Amino acid sequence: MLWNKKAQLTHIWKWIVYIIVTGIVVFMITYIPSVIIGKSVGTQNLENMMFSERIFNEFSIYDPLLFRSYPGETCSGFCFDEKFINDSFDNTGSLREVGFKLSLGQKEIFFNKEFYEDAVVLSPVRYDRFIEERPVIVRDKGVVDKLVIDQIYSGRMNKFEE
Amino acid sequence: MHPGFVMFVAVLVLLYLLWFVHGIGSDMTYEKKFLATDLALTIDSLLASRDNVVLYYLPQAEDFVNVTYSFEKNKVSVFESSPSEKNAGIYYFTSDPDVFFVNSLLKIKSSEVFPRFSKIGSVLNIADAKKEGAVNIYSLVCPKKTYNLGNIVFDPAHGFDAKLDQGDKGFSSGSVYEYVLTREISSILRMLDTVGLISGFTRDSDIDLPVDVRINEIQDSVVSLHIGSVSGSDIFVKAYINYDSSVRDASQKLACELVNHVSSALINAGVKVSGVAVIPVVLSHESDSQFKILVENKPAVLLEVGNINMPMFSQDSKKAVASGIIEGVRNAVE
Repeated sequence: MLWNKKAQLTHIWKWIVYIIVTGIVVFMITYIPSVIIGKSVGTQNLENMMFSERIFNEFSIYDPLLFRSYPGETCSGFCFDEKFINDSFDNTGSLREVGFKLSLGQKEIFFNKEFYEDAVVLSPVRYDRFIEERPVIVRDKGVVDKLVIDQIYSGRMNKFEE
Repeated sequence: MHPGFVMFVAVLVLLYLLWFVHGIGSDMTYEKKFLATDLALTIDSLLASRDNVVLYYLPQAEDFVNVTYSFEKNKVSVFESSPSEKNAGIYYFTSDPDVFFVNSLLKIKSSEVFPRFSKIGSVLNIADAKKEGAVNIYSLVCPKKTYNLGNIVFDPAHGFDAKLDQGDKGFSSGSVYEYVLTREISSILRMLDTVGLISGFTRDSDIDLPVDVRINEIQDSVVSLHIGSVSGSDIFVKAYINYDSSVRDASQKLACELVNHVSSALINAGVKVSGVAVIPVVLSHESDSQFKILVENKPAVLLEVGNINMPMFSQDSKKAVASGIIEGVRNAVE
């Protein structure tokens, strides 16, 4: 058999193309289903809506004499402080990082402040953000004010795998 | 390139594709991920409620037999053999430091399992509703502090002497009288109180005993038992306390524990309780003389149980009320 250098080179190129295309096909076969599964169990911002509800309820005034809470009514003092919010939420160990800033009038309080301040500058590229405003009655001031719940979370990252 | 070799590679890729698709279809990766996500969201939503919540989860299909749900501090895992298995479903939630799990592992061994989530006060329980008893959704979150209630007197309210045709029968419905029911429950309570939580009783027979006389029987604290009467089928467990009492906190603790334990006992005895309440009253605003038992300087509770117009006072439910009162007192005292 005669050695044809040009034909042999074309042959090698074809091999390379075949191998790369095969690799891409195998990768897609493996990757696409996990993307579809991940998408179909995605929660979008459902959790953040629940957090908003939870925060809103946590700050509601509670009457220990009648065992009754008053959703939508809060106070600007002890009802709305950082200790209270840190005693009501615990996210240690969760791979779904979350931090939030709550504003009522001029007062601002934080949960997981360090994470919030680091992540807020990286949203919406690296982290997601969910902001909700609700009117509340501030009982000690006798006014209706705006409670702003600003959440930052790692919604799209490391949801299932540790 | 030889066409046979190209065909060989194509068939190899096709086989891999078929094997992979078969793997997706036959294993439970998707179901486990879905369940883990859904369960974590369920817990998040339960924690969002400040009130008590009972939620019945979807009954599990045959395919989910032998699936285990594990609830850790901030994580739900759904797996078949071990939490570290490949493709175990894992999802996270944000817990509440004040709320703790009673069951952290739920194994589904049969499609008959009916998972039930309940958040009652600060207890989050995940259980098989078919195996565990009913949940008292009306339970109140009582203050944690307990009190020294001293010598507690139990007062089966009202009192009527049939021979003398004298006294106060209380409410009645047909041949059922309040003064008889309170005395019968008091007798059961006396038998069940083996450790002597109750120091004395205002009466143990059907005699005429006005409230002013019963007040003199109070030693350090008092529980006065009444039967309610409301139109309709509602069955309430209510406890009244004196708003102006100097020991209101102790009365409130005792009242809270009493309504919780009496209502739970009634629910477990099959009675459909409609609600519970602790009601502070200002005596000067009340015309009913029975409220006089709520003396100002001693822990005092007027407990009103059930509805005399409903056929609810079987021997079992009377026993349930008595045992609930004992448990309530036990939880209120130091």
